[in-house]
Amino acid sequence: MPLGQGALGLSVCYALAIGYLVLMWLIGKVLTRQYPNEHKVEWNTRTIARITILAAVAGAGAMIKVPGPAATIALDAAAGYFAAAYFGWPVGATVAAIGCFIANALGGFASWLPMLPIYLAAMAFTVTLAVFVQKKVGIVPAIVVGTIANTITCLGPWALMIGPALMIAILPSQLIGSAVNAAVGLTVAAALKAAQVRKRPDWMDQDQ
Amino acid sequence: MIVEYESKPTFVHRLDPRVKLVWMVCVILVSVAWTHPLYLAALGLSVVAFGLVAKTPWAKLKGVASFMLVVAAIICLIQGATYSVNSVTLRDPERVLFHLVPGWVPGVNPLIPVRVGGFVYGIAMSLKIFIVLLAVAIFGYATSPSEMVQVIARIPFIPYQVGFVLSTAWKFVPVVQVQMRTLMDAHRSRGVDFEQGTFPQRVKKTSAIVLPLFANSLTMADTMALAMEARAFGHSKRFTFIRPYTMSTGDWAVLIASLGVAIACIVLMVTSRLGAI
Repeated sequence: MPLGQGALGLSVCYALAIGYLVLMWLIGKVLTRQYPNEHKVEWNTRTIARITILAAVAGAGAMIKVPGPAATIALDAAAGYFAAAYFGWPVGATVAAIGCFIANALGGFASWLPMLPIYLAAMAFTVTLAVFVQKKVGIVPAIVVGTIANTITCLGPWALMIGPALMIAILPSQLIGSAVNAAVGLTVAAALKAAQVRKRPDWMDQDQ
Repeated sequence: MIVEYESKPTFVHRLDPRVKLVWMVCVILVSVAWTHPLYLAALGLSVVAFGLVAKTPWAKLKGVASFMLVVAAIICLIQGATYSVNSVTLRDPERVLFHLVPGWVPGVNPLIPVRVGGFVYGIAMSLKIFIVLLAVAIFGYATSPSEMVQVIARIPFIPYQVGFVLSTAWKFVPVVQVQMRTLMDAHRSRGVDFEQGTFPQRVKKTSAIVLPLFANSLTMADTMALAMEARAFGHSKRFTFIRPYTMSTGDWAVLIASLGVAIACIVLMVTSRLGAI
């Protein structure tokens, strides 16, 4: 039975959000232990500057609209996935959460303000999980897992509060939006990482 | 924002942004706690009164309000059809109001009953959404974005780095947007049409902007880190604000009234179910 949008429904959803954060922390700990070079983050000025700019990219990404089959898709979560894959999960989770806040604030908190903390926790958890799967299995399973996790964590609380009926209508656009954001963020990070280690072709130097 | 910030000489605009934030949080808390539509309607009226003092341009909310009316109608029908309420005020919450599939359709029995309890609860849910929307719109209309991040930066338990990240990221959004537009124009000059093609093609075209955008942003972050270090960012934990906020008598009055009413409402709701459906 739905819990309603009152104090009970929201309390259960906030408890769920704390669960997301605990899960994120556990997955993150495993990542940090197994891949310290990529996921151990030093919180210095450079890291803060990166988080700031990538959060701004997330905010601006909310205005990049791709006309989709079910609804228009915004690239607001791509920066979070990118940051998690490129700079490590702590930076990614922070960018995802702050980026989600800025994107929502720019949109006038249209998705009901009391739910915002749950979205922030959900986004932080999703990008960490996606990067974990990417490291363990590969980029395509990471996109699939990221899509499913984002859909469940964002729509789950609503389904819990007002029942699954309304959620079914939002499901297609949410699924496509999540998939596009995960795909764009993770592939761009992989491409930029590859570009860093790729050898400069000889013909480039010969021309000069 | 739903309604863009406008600088106006009203009492609400002059209030300390921290007081406006507390007022908004109190409204949201009370709207979450109450479940009776009449109480919520009264709360909504008080929010409208606050908006009138702020000279809110209601016409700008027309688009969002019409969309929300459709959402509200759907919520009422879904709640009415699926939700059963343990009501303390309704005499017979299980009474059927009407059927979504009516009995007068030839050859079809009445299906999916919409019950009074669920329907009234749906109205309350819709009012909650409207109230939060209005409170956020009035707060956004009367508080400039830079004031909002200044408020977040002043919250005692939040590290100053978070305040810095939020305020700077907010200011950098237009910069990133300009970069994005430049990249899009560069692609358009090569004949790329972002509106044409199938959905995967459009995603691919957009990804072509995202990659240089991220690469540029990394360069920008490094430059910004250098500028921050040149100004000894992080050297001292003690920091000052350019614009210090001072509370006036009006600020204290609104703050005490907001907190007092919110605490009283929540205590009465918990102890004597005042405001429950």
